[in-house]
Amino acid sequence: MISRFIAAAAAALFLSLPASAQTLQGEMMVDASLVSDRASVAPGETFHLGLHQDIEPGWHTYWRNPGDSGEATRIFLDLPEGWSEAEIIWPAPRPYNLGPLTNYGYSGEVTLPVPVTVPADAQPGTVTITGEATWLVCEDICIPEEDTFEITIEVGESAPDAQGEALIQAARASAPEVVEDARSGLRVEEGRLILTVNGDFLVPDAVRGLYFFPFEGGVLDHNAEQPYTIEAGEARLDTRPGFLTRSGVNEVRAGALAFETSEGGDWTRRVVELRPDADEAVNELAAPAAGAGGSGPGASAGEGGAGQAAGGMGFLQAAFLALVGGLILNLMPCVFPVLSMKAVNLVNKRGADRAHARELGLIFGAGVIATFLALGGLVLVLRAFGGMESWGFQLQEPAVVAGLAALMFLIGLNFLGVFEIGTSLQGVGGNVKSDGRWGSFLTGVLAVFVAAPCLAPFMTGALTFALTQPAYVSLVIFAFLGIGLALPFVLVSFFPQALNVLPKPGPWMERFKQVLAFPMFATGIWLVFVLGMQTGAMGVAWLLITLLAISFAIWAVRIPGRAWKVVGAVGAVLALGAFISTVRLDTVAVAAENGEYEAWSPERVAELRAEGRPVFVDFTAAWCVTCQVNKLGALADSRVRRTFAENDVALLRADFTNRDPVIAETLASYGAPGVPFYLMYPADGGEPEILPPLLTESIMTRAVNSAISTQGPAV
Amino acid sequence: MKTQTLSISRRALMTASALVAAAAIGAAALAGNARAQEPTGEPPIPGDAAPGFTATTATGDTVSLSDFEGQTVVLEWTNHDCPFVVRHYDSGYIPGLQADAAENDVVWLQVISSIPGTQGHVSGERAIELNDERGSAPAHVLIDETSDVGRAYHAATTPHMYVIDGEGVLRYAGGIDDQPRPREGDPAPVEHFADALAQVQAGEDVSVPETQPYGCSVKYTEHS
Repeated sequence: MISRFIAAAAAALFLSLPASAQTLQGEMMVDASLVSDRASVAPGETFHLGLHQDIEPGWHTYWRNPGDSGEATRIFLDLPEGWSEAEIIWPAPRPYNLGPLTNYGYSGEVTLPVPVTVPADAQPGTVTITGEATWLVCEDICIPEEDTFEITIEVGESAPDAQGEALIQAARASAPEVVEDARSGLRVEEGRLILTVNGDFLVPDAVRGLYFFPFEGGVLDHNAEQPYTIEAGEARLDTRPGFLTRSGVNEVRAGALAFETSEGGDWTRRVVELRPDADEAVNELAAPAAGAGGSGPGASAGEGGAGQAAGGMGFLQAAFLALVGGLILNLMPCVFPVLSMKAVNLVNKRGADRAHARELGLIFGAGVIATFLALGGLVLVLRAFGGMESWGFQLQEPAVVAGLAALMFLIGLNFLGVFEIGTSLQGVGGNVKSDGRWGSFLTGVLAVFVAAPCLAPFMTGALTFALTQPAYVSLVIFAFLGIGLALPFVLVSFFPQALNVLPKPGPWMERFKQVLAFPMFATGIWLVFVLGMQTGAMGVAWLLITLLAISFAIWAVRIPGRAWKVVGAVGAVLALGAFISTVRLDTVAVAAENGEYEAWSPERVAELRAEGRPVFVDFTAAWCVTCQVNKLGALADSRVRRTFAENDVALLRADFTNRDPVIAETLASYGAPGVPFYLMYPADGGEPEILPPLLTESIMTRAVNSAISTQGPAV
Repeated sequence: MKTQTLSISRRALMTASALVAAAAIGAAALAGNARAQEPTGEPPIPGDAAPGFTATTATGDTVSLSDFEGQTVVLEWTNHDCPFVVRHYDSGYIPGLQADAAENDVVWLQVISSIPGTQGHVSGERAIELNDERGSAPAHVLIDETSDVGRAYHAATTPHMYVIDGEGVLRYAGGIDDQPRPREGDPAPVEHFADALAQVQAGEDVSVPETQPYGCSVKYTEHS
C-alpha cells in the first residue's frame, strides 16, 4: 500500500518538521555534542566517539529499548575509509513511570559511546569525522530532534582528550558489565515470566532493588512490578511476560539486571548484563511473595532521581507515618500509665512464666490491631453505604463546625487538667484479669478505647485520609496505627530490659498533655474562623458564648457542694442554648455563591475553551473545610469576582462531595490527592495552570491576568 | 543528681520528638498524598475477544464495539500534535488506509485518549475540523477523555493500532509499521498493521499478530 518512495518522502517530511507548536521554535531540548576519549589516536587503536546529551530538566531521551513508548537514540558516523565502528555502548537506563506506561531512558546528562577502530595502515595526519544523530526527547510531549556534528582527530601518537575521556569513561562504567560467573535463565510458568540468576554478586543483605531491563521491547510488560527473592548466590524475579514471551521463551532475550549493592553501608547502583538461557531456570528458588521485595518501575532507586515515584511510595510513607502515630499514642497520658503498669507486671514474671509473658504480649498486640482493623472496617462500611459522605456533607453545616469547635475546646481544657474524664474507663481495663489469654486480648481492645480521648485528634486525621483512599490502603493505615500502639508493649514482653529505657510515668506526662492542649485550642480557633465565614459575626459571638458557658459549667461542677452542681447545670443549659442559637443562624452566604458557577464536565471545559474563553475550575467538596474557606474567602472577594466578570472567565465547579469517577480520574491525572484543587485554563488553549490549595485575592488576580495574556502561564 | 538531669533531658527530647512526629502525621493526613496504584489488568491478546467498550464520538453520539458485529473494526490511537502521528498524516499514509478501509466496509475508529489538559485532547468539533484539514475520514472519532478505552486496550503510543474481526476477536495489536523514523538508507518499513488488516479481510491468519508500537505516549497523566 505504500511504496518505498513514499516512505522516503515521509522521512524527509518528518525530518523537516518544526518542533511541536507548544514549544519555542528552534529551541532544542537536548544540547548534544560529539566527544572523543582520544585527542590523538594510533593506527590500529580502538577508541570511542560519544554522543553527549545535555537534557533539559524534566525531559528525557531513550535507551536502546525505549519501553512502552518513545524512540531509541540513533548515531550515524561518517568514518574515513577503512575505519570501523561497533554498536553503541548504552549506559544503564532509568525507568520513567507515566501512569499505566513505563519508559526506559535518561535525564540530566548522558553520553552514548561508540567504539571506533582505526585501521593499522592509517596515515598520520588530521582526520575530520562528521556524524549525525537523531533522538526523541519527551516531557509531557515529545519532540523528535536531530543534529549534525564534526570532530577533528589526529592520527599518530595516542593521546587522551581529558574532557571527552571523563565523559566516555563514566558512560562505559555505568553500562551493564559482563560478569564471568553469572548464569541466568528465563522461562514462563503459569503466565508469569520468571528470571532466575546465579552469581557471586548476589549477596542477600548487600543487594536490593533488583530490576531487569530487557534489551528489546515485548520481552516483558514494562509497567509490571518485578518482585524478587534473593539468597546467597541466587535470585529469582517474577514479572508479567510481554508479547514475545507470552507463549514461552524460545530464544535468548538479553537485558540488564540493575540493583543496588552495599559496600560499607553505602548503596551504589550496579548493572550486570544477562543473556538468560531460553526456557530454563538456573535455580529452585520459590516464587517471591506478592509485594515482598517488589521493585516497581519507580522503585529501583539510586541517585539522580530519574524515575517518577510510583504510586506505592506515598502509600508506604502513609503506612510509616501511621506506625509512628501509633507509637506516639503510647505516650498519651490516658494510655501510658495503664500500659506501663501492665508492662511492669509482665516483666516481673520469671522462669516458665517468661514464655507465657511473651505469648500474652503477642495476644495483646493482636487485640490492639484487631480493634483498629475493626474500626477501619466500620469506616469502610459507613463509606460504602454513603453514611460517611452524608457525615462529610455535614461539615458544611455550622452545627458540625460549632460542635467540633466546642469539642476541641473541651479536649484542650481536659489536657490542661481543668477536669478529668475516662478514669472509670481505665478502671474497667484494670479489672480484666490480665493473666489469661482472653484477658490479654481484651486489654488490647480496651487499650484502644481507653485511649479514645487522646486518639480522637489523630483518628480524625486518619479518618479523613482513609476516606479518600481505596479500601486496602485504609485498612493498612489502621493496621499500622495499631501496630505502632502495640509495639512497645510487645517489645517489653520479649525484652524485659527494654523497660529500663522507657521513660517512667511521672509529672512530665502531665506537662506533655498540657502542651498538647494548645494545638487543640488552635484547631478550635480555625473552626471558629470557618463558622465566621459561614454565619458571620453573629455566629462567632454565639459560639464564643457557648464556650464561655461550657467553661463556666465545668468550673462550677468541679466545686464540692450541691448548690454548685445546680449552678453548673444552669451553665450547661446556657451552653446548650447558645449552641442552638449558633446553629440556627442562616447560612445564606454559603448558598448564594453557587450562582455564578456552572457544573463542571470535561465536555463543558472543552466547549468553553473552544469559544476562546479562559476557564476557571473549582474542584471542591462540602466536607473539605479548606475548600469552603476559599469559596467564602478569595473566591467570594469582590475584586476577584469583578476580575472574573471583566475578563469573561467561565466559572465551573466540580463537586466532589460524593464519589465521582470522572472527577477522581481528573484529579489523579494532575497528581492531586484530592480537593481543594483549582485549574485556570488560559484563553489561548495552552496548558492549564494549577493554583495553590489556599487561594488569595492576589493569586486569583494574577492567575486571571496570565490566563488572558496570549503567552499563557509562564511554565 | 546527675541521673536526674539526664532523664529530664531524655524526657524533653521525647516530648519534642513526639510533637514533631505528631505534626508530621497531621501534615501527612492533610496532604494525603498516597495515590492508589493503577490497577493494571492484563493487556488484550490477539486471538482473544476484544474488550468491549462504549464511548462518545466527536459528533456526540454513543458507539459500542458490539454495534459493529460482522464488520472488521480498526482502532487507531491518535494525538494530532504527536510528531509520529503528524508524519503518517502528512505523508497521506493513514488517510489513505482510512479511505481503503471505508471502501472495504471496515469500521475505522480513531481514538483520542489524551486526558483533558494534555497534548492531543480536543473537543469533538475540533477533532472533526482536524480530520477535515488532514483529509482524514475515519468512521468515527472516539473522544475517550476518561481514557477507559485506552486503558482497556493498554494502548501505549500514538499511533497504536488494533484490528478486530467481525466476530469481535482481536487479531492485531501493535505498531503501524516497524520504523519510528525512517532515514535514507534504512530498509523499507514493514507495514505490520496494513498487512494484518489485509489478512483479516482475506480471511487468513495474521502472520505477525503483535508488534512493538512506537510513538508518543498516550497521555494518561499530566506529568511524565
